[in-house]
Amino acid sequence: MKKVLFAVYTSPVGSIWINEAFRSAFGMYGEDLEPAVLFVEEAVLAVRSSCKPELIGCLPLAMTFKYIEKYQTPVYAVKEDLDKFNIKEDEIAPQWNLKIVSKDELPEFVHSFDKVVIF
Amino acid sequence: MALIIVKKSPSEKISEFLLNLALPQDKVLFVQDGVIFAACKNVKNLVKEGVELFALKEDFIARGFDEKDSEVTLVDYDGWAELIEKEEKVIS
Repeated sequence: MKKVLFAVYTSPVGSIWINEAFRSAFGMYGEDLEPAVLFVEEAVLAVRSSCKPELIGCLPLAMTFKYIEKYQTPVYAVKEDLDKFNIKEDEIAPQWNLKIVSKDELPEFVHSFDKVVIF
Repeated sequence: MALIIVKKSPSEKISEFLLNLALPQDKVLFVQDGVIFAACKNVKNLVKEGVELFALKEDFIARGFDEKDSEVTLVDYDGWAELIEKEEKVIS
């Protein structure tokens, strides 16, 4: 089965790209493709339990949780970006089932996918 | 290996993220505002050894540069299509 990675780099609040990445990722199951999502740069802010775009009328991130669990969609974040924004482990919403990738591992990690789309 | 397409200018962090992904034998193609990289004297130092760099000629000229200003190989749209055809995967 081909693997597709959606890498998101924009902030979770004020733009729709994280929700779009998951909408695209979940759509891949209908194409017999295996999706994964990677948060880099400001996108890592999404992983905090306290991150609630709906507070200012944007789409909630939590709407993705039941599908992440149902499909076991792998969600990754870059360690150095989590550190940059001082995001601690106990602040991360468990529903992401987040996996951490370091910057050194990124080139090989990204190349392991058949298709990579940057959002 | 992979063709990495960089669409954003050097001032955008995601461009640096993409250039850091490139492994030896990968090809990087600068398009849209990414062609500004082609005019940077140090562009070859921004990627690992063995990574080939290209830029889209039409976008480069449209931004007021002259072909001789380019530090990387310029390709036209047909050249872009060939790069996509030749490489195993695209990261963009």
